[in-house]
Amino acid sequence: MGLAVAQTDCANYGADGLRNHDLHHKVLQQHAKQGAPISEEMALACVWDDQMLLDLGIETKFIPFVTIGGGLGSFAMVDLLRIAGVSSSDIEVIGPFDKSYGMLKVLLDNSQIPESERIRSGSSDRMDNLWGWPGYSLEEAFQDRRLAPIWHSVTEPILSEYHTPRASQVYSGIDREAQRIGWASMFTRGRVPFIRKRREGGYYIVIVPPENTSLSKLEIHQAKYVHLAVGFSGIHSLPDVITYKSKNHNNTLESDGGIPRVVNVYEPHESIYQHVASNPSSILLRGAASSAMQVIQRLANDRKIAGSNVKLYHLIREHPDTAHQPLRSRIPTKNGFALQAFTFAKGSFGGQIQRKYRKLQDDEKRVALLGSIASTAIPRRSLWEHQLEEAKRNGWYEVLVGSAGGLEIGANGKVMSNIVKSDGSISRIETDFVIDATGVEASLEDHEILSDLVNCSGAKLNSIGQLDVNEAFEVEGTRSPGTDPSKPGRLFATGIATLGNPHCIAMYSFWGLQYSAWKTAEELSKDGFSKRIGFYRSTTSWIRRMRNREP
Amino acid sequence: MTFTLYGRLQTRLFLVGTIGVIWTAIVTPILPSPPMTGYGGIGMAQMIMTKDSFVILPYSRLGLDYQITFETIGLVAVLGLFWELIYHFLQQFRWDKDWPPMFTLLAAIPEGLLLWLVINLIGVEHGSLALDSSGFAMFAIHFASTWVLMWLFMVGPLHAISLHWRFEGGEFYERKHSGSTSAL
Ligand SMILES: Cc1cc2nc3c(=O)[nH]c(=O)nc-3n(C[C@H](O)[C@H](O)[C@H](O)COP(=O)(O)OP(=O)(O)OC[C@H]3O[C@@H](n4cnc5c(N)ncnc54)[C@H](O)[C@@H]3O)c2cc1C
Repeated sequence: MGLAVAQTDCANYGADGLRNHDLHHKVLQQHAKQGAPISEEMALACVWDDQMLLDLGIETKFIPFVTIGGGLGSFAMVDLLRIAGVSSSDIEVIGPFDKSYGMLKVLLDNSQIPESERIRSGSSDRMDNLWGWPGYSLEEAFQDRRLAPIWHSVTEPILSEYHTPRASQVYSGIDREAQRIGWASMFTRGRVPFIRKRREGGYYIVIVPPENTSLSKLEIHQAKYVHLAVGFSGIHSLPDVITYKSKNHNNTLESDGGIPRVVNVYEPHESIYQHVASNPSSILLRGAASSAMQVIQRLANDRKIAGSNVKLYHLIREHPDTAHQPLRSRIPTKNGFALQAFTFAKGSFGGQIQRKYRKLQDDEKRVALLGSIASTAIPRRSLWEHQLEEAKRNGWYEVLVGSAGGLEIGANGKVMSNIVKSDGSISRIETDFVIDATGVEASLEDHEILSDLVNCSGAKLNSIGQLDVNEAFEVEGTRSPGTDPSKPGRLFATGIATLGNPHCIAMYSFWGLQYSAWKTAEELSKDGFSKRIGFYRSTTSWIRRMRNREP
Repeated sequence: MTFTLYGRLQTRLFLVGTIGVIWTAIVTPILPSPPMTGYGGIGMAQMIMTKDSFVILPYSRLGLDYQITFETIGLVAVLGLFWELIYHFLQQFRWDKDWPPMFTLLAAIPEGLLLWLVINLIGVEHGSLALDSSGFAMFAIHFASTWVLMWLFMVGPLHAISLHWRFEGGEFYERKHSGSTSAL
């Protein structure tokens, strides 16, 4: 998965601040109509106190620990806290999806990884098992009564490819673990537009009901610890795709029920494949990450099964040029693609690369290291190699090297893509569809809750425009000490919003989410909120998990 | 496996110190002992032998076997620290900077060969270096079984014991630096 880390200009926040307040005011007013009276003063204040709420007759509910987002980052945190001895009644999860993998499933489904397909990460990267053992491979071997997954695990990645789990196995494992830790009892469906520091200490959390839910009106909860796990802010598209879509949003394939001509790979676009299966079509695919390979796989399968007639142009920025690099830092390549099993080089998951990263004090060096190991590369999969070779041989697949230089409407409503070659010349190509597979968005400004945090709660940004967090993933500058400075309210974060943090490089991965949860839990154990997980607790908790007993 | 250098060294010592020791204690009595004559060696068993040089008590027979096997795994630890440096160096040539589990398993071959050589040279074991040497069966069975068990433990149950080990490149303890914790 390619990642677009937007560079944020801190200076913008001044102006945006006002806009945000307006926005919040509107949100609050709107909900006031539904029964939550909120004063003008409150909508604009960055710190609230109990009296304000009392005056308005708003009742708040206190929960010691609230995690916002309810995705996998929240899941990792809650799972860990439960294992570290925190009761489920002391934890609340707020998010729009009642399943923690809700968001991931949407993105995976759209990007051609339905439940039956395998995700990218490895056997021991288990969201539902903090210890990573037994891995997915052992489980699959056991369930399917096959030895192959174990053979993979033992010989990967030398004699065989990495064993990676099917999406269905990931989901069902999380369901089981969610059941065990009492996820449903901790979950509140809702969206948190912003949080406020509480003058007496801790935080207020404003929860608005998402559409079509039981939560009928705005609620305000109060917490001592807040954990932000709000994930990616959206789908990343190159500027020309955005421009094209805003200008020509109704340029669809009318003859076939309005199929969009230009889509992002993470948006629903099944209709394109359906159309291609029965009509000769051409597609321009952009991006060289594994989501692009997933599209090629889908088209190759359809060609084989449905006999579809498709011409696929694959636009990549450049063939990886590694010849000049020293052997020690040369990424393997094949078929013109850089090869890397996981989104991050493996040594980033706790190994040597993470250690190297941690030693770097300089933000810029960290970013550079991140860029080099989170490279646009695909895992080596023999299926893909075969499909690519077959596709090239039979002439339905062609690689174009260059960068995207704008999209226009071509003849008969087709899409005309301009491609800028490395020598500056421009070539044009007309296709029925364009599928953009260049990444997901990590921009902090697009997250209302995070940009508000910067505006109102003292959070700062690091040099890549993400939240400045410390080694425990606590957001710098956001403590809310109230009347008892020795026990301040504390705010933690995880996921992509903490990219560039001082400790962990592989932040947008299951492993990274678990790692940061572990660091945060260690810190909370110093506060006396949770227990430390040493040899004894680790082993006994693992046994409880294996016996599917409540932690 | 994603080891840091310290992680490798700590993992090696931990595995030998736990699985290695326990397994050696269990398996030694049933290993095929070499004939008694002319043993060299150091430590407790030898002292027993010098004292009772004319009688070989069954218990010192076992004592001798234990001496051999424990000295062997002691060497797995000590020589291992040097081997780990080599592995770490080789790891630098891997793009992913990782160490596939298979490598660890196969490392038994070079390590076993060197061990057999060293054991004969320092006299833990007696006789020729040849594979038909009287002590070879004992050595091979002991070393190979210990190695496989240590490996199985590493790719498996070790994860359950320590989150620190999983999250910090195979380290149980971290040297304190810039405020980081040294937890388990
Ligand atoms: C297509 C794709 C494939 C991936 N595959 C893998 C893989 O194979 N292995 C791996 O290790 N990692 C993978 N990742 C990376 C990463 O592990 C996942 O993206 C993971 O879901 C990130 O967890 P998260 O909690 O940060 O975000 P999410 O799981 O996206 O959860 C964040 C949640 O917060 C909600 N939210 C946002 N704003 C608010 C708000 N204001 N109030 C309340 N809720 C809010 C969102 O709606 C969302 O549901 C993949 C990522 C993508 C995009």
